[in-house]
Amino acid sequence: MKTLITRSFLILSLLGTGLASAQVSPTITDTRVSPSQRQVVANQDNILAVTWQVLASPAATPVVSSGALVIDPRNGSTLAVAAGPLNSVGSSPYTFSESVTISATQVDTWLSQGLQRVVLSRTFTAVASGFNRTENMTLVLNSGNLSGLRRNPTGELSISSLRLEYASGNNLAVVNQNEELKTLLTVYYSGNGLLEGRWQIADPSSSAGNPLFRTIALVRKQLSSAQRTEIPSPALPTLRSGKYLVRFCVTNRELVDDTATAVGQCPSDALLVDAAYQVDGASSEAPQVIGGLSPNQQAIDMNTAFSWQAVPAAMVYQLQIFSLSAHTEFPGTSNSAAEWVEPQFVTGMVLRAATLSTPLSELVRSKLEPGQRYLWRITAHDSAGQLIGASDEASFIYRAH
Amino acid sequence: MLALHLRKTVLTALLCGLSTTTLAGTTDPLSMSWDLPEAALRADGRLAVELDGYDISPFTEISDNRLTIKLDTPLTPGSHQLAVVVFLANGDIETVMTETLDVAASDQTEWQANATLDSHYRAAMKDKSEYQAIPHAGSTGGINASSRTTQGNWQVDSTVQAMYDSVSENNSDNDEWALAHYQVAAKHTGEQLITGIAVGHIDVDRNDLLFSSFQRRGVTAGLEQRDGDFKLQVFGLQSDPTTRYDGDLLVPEDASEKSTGATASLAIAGEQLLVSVGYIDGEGTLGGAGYSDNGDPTIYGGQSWNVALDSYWLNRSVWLHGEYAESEFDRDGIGLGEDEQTDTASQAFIKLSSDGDLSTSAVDYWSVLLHYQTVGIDFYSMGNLYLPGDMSMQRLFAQTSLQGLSAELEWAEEESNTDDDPNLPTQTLQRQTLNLSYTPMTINPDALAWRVLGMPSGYFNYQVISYDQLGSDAALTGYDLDNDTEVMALGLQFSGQTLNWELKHQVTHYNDNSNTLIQSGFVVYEPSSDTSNNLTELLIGWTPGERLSLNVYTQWNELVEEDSNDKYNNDNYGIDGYWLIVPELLNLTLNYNQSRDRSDLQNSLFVEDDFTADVANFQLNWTALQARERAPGITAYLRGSYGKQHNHALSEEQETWAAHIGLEIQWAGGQP
Repeated sequence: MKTLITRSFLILSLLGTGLASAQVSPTITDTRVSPSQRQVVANQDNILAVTWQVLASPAATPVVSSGALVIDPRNGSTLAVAAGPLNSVGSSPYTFSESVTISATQVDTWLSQGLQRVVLSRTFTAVASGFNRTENMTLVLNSGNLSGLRRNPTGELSISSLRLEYASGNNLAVVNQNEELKTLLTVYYSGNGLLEGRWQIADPSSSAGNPLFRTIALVRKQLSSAQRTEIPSPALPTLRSGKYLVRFCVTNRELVDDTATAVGQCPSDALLVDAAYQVDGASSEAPQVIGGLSPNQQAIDMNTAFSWQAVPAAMVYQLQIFSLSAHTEFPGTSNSAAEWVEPQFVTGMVLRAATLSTPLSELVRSKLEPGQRYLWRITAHDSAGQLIGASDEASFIYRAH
Repeated sequence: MLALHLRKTVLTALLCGLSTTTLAGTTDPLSMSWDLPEAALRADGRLAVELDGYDISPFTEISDNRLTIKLDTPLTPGSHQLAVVVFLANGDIETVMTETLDVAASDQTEWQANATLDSHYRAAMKDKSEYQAIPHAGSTGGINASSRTTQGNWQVDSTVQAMYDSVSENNSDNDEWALAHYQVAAKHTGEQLITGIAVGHIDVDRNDLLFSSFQRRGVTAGLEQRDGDFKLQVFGLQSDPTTRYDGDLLVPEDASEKSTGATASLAIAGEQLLVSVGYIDGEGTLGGAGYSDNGDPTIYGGQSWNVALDSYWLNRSVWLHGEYAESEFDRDGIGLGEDEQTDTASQAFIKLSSDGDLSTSAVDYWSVLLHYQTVGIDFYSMGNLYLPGDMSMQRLFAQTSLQGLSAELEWAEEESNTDDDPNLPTQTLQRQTLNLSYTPMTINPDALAWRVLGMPSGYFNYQVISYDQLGSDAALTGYDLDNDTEVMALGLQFSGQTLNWELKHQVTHYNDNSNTLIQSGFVVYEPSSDTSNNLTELLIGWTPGERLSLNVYTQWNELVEEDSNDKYNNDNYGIDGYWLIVPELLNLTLNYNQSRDRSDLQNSLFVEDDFTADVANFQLNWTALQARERAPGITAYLRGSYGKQHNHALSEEQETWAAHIGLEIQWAGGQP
C-alpha cells in the first residue's frame, strides 16, 4: 500500500487585513474544499490536486490539521492516512494546496471490501482554543475509467471524458474561406448536474505564437440524459485564412480546485479538449450567398412572385421547394437530437439566368398541398453546371387561391 | 427547438454532367427531341415537362408535334426521369409520356486542390527575453485536394487534407505535419454488384448498439447488390482516432491498437423484413485525437456482435426495430483486475410518422416514437465504447408542426442496476421535456416594424428532471439521492437583410431534497445546496454591405447557491469586425473579447473570484496578387494580438502582445 503526498501552502494575506475585528473568539468559522468530489480508479495511481480553505478568527492562529484521513462512509472508520499534518502560516484565510496520491492498490482493496466511495477528511483545529472543524471530500471508487462512467455512487455530475470532432471524426480540418464550420463536443459523464464551460478560440494572429484564447461562448447545459450528450460549437470563423485553435473548457467549480479557478478561465487540463483547423486562402470555390428572397414567412397563392438577387456568371437558377418531414434517423437515447425535422425535396423549377422573379408554375403548384408550410431556396449554376451561388432557406404557406 | 438540416447535395444533383443512352458521355448542354403522343396534343391541354421533379418547361419547344429540350447546362451521370404532363381544362392532370434517360459517365478525371502557405516573422513581442529565446520565423499551411477518375465501370476517388505548422510553441512533439484526413477508394459497378475497397479514413456506416459514428483510419472492402437488398463490409481499423502522418497509415500491426470486424444486411422480404448483423473485435485506449487527456494508458478490449431486424410498413410511415447484442469485454483493462466479462444489450422501438401513408393535411408533419433499451453493466463494443450502460431506458417522443408552430414532447425514464445487484443502488431518472418554436407565417415584410427589426421567430423550452434512488439504498451507498431540476429557456430571433439579432434567456433551478445521513454517529452525507442559474445572451450581426460586417455577442450568467446565497457571475463580451477598405486590395479584420468571472460569497472572508481576461486581435491584409484560376495569389499582412489577464483578488496581472508580418501564398486549381 502506498500513499504519497506533496503539498504547498499559498498564504493569501490580502484579505487578512481589516478582518480582525470581525472575529474575536479563537474559533474556526468555516472551511471549504475543492474539488468536492473526484473519481479514483484501480488501474492506475491517482494524483489529486486538493485545495482546503479555512477561515479562523485572529485569536485562533495558528490552525493545524491532523493527517488527511480516508474514511469508510458506512461506519466512519479510518481506512488510511492519505497525507500528513498541515500547519498554518500567516493569517486567516488559510489556503492549503496539496497533491495527494491514492494508489491503485488502495482503490482495489477498498473496492474488494464492497466500498463504492470513501471520504477524504481533514480536521482543522485552532490551537489556542482546541476548537475544530472537519471538511470532507468524496472519492468515488471505480475499477477503471471506462467502468467509472457507468458507476457513479454519488449521483452528482462527474465528467469522464470529452471529445471534439469535425465531420471527419477527428479534431483537425482544412476548409475554404467562408465555408461553414462547426465542431461537435461530446461529453461523457455520469450523474446529473449543470455543465459549466466555455468555447474558446485562438485566431491566426495569436496561434502563430503563444496562443491567446478568447471566449466565444459560455455554455450552461443541464446534463440529465444517459451518460453522454452532444453540444455543437458556435459557428467557427472562416473569414480569414490561417490556422485557428479551438478548445472547450469545463469550468464547474466542484470539479476543479479553487487555485486553478483563480488563475485562469480554462482551469483543468483534464477537463479541456482541443481541436484545430486551417482556412485556405484561395476562396474561388466558395459559392456566393444569394439574398433578397421573397416571399418569406408569408402565405402565397398562384400569383405570388418568387424573387431573388442576381448572381453574375449564372447560367441557370434552380428554385427548390421542400416540405418539413419528421426525419426517421435511428433514434438516440435521449433528447430530440435524433428526431430532427428534415426538409424533403418536393418539387422545383429550372430557370434561365435572366429570370429573377417568377410565380410558381402550374406543374409546381400541382405538387403542393394547400395550407401546408414549405421551405424554398434558390441555387445558381454556371455553364458547366457547377454550383456558384445558394441562398438560405425561406418559408411560405401555400394557399391554392 | 426545431432544428432544420437541409441535405444540400440532393439539391444540386440535377445539374452538371449529363449523358443518355443516346448521348452517352457528353458534357455539352443537352439537346434532344421526341415525337409527342396524341394525348399531349389536345386543344384544351397545357403541356409541362418535368425532369427529376423539376419543371424544365422554359427549356422546351414544341414544333410539328415534336418536343425538343435544350438545356443550358449539362446533367449528371446516372438515371433521369422525364415526364410530359398535360393540364386539362377540367382540372385533371394527365401524364402522357415518360422516359428514363440512363446516362453513362464518360471516362475522365476530375480534380480540385487548394493550398495555402503562410510564412511569417515575429517582429516584436512584449516579453523580450522570451522573444530572444524562440525562433522568429515560422510557417503554417494547409492542403486540401481531391480527385475522381472514371474509367468504364471503375471509379477511383482520392482525398487528402494536411496541415503544416512549424511554429515552435505549437510543436512540442516536433510534428510539423498532420494528416487531418485522407482516403483512396476504388469502386466497380457491375450489372448486379457494386464492389469496392478503400484505405485511409473509413466510416463504418452503422448507428446501433455496436457502432456509433465510428470513423477511423484503416482498410475496408465491401460489396453491395445494386438494388440495395444485400450489403457486406469488412474492415480493419486503428482503434483510436489519429491525425499522425508518420504512424500507421493503414491497419497497425500491434493488436492493442486495432479493431477488425464486419457488417452485413439482407432484405429478406423487401422493406417488410431486413436483417442486419455486425461484429467487431479489438483493443484500444479511451483516448486518441480529439479526446481529452485523462492520462489513462490502460488498454481495453474485447469482441462484440449484434443482430437486428427492421420492418417498414405503409410506405415507411411505420418503422419497427428490434436488436440484440452480446459482448465479451475486459472493462477494467487487459491484464488488470478482472478478466473479460460477458454481457448483453438490447433495444426495440416503434416509430410512426407522417413520412408515408399516414401523412395528413391537418398538420405539416408528425411523428411518435416508443423506445426501449437496456444495456448491461459489462456490455461494451470497441465501435461504441462510450455507450451508456447499466441502464434500462423507456422513452416516448412525439413531434408535430402546424402553420409555423412546432412542438416536441418527450417523456423518458432511465433506471440503473439492470442486474438487480444487491450491492449496487437502483437509481431512477425521469425526464419530461416540452419544446415549442414559432415562426409567424403571415408577416408583411414591408411593415415598418419588420423592416427595422427583421423577420421574427421564437422558441420556448421546458424540462423537468427528477433523480432519486430507493430509500433503503442510502444505507448501502452511504448517501441519499433525491433531487429535481427545472430548466426553462426562451429565445427571440429577428432576421433582416442587414441586421440579425437574437435574445435568449435560460433559467435552471436545482432542488436537492435528499436528507443528511448519519451512520454510527458519523455524518456520512450532507445534502448539497439548491441552486439557480440564469443565462442571458444577446447576439447581433450587422452587415450593411459586402465591405463591412460587425458581430457583437454578450452573455451574462449568474449561479446562486441558495442555501448560502453565494453567487458566481460569468460575463462575456465580444465584437468581431471586417472592413474591406479597398476592394480586392486592402482589408482589415479585428476582434475584441472581454470575459469576467466573479464570485460574491456570503462569507466574504473566503477568497473570492475576480478575474478578467481581455483579448484583442487585428490583421491588415494587402492583396499583392489576386488568385485567379490556377495562378497563385499573394497577400502581405501585418497582424497583432494582445492579451491581459487580471486577477483582481490576488492583485496579479499578466499582459502580453505580439506583432507579426508575413506573406501568404494561396493557390487553387482544378478540373471540374
